[in-house]
Amino acid sequence: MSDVGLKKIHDFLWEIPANGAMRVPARIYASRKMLADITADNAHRQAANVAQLPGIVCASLAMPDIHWGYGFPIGGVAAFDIDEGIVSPGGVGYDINCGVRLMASILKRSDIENVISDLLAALFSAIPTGIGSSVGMKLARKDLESLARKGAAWAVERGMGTQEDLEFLEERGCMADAGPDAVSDRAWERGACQIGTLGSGNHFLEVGYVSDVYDERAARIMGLDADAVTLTIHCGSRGFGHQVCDDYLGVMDRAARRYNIALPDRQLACAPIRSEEGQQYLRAMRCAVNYAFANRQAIAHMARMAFSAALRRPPADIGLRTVYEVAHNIAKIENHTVDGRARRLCVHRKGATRAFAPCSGEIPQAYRSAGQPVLIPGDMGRYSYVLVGTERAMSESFGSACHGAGRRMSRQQALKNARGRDIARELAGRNVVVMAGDRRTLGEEMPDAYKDVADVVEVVVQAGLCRPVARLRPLGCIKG
Amino acid sequence: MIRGERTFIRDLVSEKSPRWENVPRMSCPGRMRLSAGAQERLASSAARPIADAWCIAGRLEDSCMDRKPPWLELLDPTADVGLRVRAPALKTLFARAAWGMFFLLTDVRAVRPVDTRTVHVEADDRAALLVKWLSELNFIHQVERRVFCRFVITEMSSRSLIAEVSGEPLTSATNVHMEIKAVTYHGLSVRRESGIWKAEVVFDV
Repeated sequence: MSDVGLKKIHDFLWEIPANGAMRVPARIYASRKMLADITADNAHRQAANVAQLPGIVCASLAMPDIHWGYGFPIGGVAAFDIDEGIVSPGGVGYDINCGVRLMASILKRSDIENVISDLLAALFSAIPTGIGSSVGMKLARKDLESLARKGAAWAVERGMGTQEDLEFLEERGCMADAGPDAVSDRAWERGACQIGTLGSGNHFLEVGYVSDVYDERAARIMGLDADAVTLTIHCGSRGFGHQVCDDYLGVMDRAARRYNIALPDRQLACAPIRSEEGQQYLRAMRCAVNYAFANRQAIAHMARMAFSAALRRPPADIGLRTVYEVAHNIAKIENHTVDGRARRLCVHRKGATRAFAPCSGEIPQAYRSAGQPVLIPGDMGRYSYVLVGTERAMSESFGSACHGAGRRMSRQQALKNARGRDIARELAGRNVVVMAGDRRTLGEEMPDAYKDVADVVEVVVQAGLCRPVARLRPLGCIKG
Repeated sequence: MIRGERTFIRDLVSEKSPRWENVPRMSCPGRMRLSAGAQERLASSAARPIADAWCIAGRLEDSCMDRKPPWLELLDPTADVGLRVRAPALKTLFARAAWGMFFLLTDVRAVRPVDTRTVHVEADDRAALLVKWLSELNFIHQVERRVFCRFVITEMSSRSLIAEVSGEPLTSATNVHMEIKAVTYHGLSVRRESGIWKAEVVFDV
């Protein structure tokens, strides 16, 4: 691997030693067979570029699902000293707080197998998907500002869910210090109609069941008994977050010049965390983070209603409760111990999941003996995983792990590959019912277009960043 | 619209919680295809036609990707999409880039020029102007839920552009293929080579 400058640390960790303008090394969690894809994509070079940014601590990290992104790679984790470091919208991504919620019910697989089509139809009807999907009503600016401050609690206050839901969300579904005044009129306009909507692209709703349990104690704590019916929600902050990112990329481009920050790639545009621009971005980003929390809470509530309507049972007889919710695209101020010293850091996770160890005060009381659930969805035909964070993740990766399978084919390659095939029928043959607003979406998102998530999960488990708890298999999937 | 759906939607954004009894109940048979009669009934009764979703069952064939004009190429970054456009003049280049974006978003040839509006954008340089122009159209598309098919650039300098754009509102019958989160600066270029204007732009989807 010397041709691309990668040095083996162990079978699942590779390093580009600090050289040239790099302040720290870049470290990539991957198996040997994954490295060819990663280097072909030049994603490792992006990880090395991030290592040049001011105030970066320890190393620029990449998870095994790393792939090329705008500036920062997707699957990247980078922590910056709060006094000397920078914050970058490119290190968070366009879909701020894109994330995953896992819910589990008291139903068993056999309870829904015969009505899965009805259930998907009810979910498809109740939860708008696809482009510009909206609930048909516009939120007033003052409601949106309240939502941006309160996050998921905004939805719960309106009867969409319970206080118990909030307990099981990262950050309890609300980041403090959100600043609506830092958000542009355009972002408010784009966000006005999109609460309670799934969006498009790789966003989805998936009804599944617990197919394998690897850690009985942890699974019991999370209510993931064998065969239990689950619901996974993957979506983010919609047009509101996209606009916040877009707005601040311009601001940071100017700020980087103003603060004389040398950038190896213009898309790494950033500003010192302590600067006016840095603080404004963080305040606007937190509004988008809270928007995504509220969005998933509203969707979770509508999903409960749809389950009840399809199965003709009151929600209490379905018992669909939140197991956990994680954010994938976020920057957070966190305390970590680095080289034996307590440090306050701004941790950027772009296409990466927080994976805190047992006993962390940041995770729900109920999970403190098990560790924070780490939710890793796969493609719609295979399986997804539930893992938990470890002490090793705390000491090596700022309490972070991977976030998904990652694409193997571009969208056009996938479409070419899907030509002449009936993807819905193929999936039905694998006992997975799929719905989408557009046939092309199914082609782009078909299982073969993605890597096998089991390979990604194997790396984070073998590297000691996570422990496996359970595997879920899909019964039905709605694509945005 | 199915009985109860309006109440459900209204309650969602008001102080009340939607009640599960109000969720419209879709009656779908257990297989992948609905009968023609059932599709018709559902299509006529649902605000969100479930029948549309069932249409995804079937072979993926003549993708509109095959019917693109000769001056348009699709770029192929792994997770996103991009365009390469050629034109004899700069104004045409910008108009074609906009058409190309709506070619990705919808069946642009089926969009009717029902009404026309003026769009004005400014930027620091020509490449940034292309990003601003496409971002503005994407913003109108998402916020006002409209699609466009005709783009006439009436005035243009390297830092500003005024255009007349024509299109129509989105309806439940409009086929929208994807959502563009943002028009990016990655690999962005607007240049003239051997008398031909060329532009490349990548969208985050």
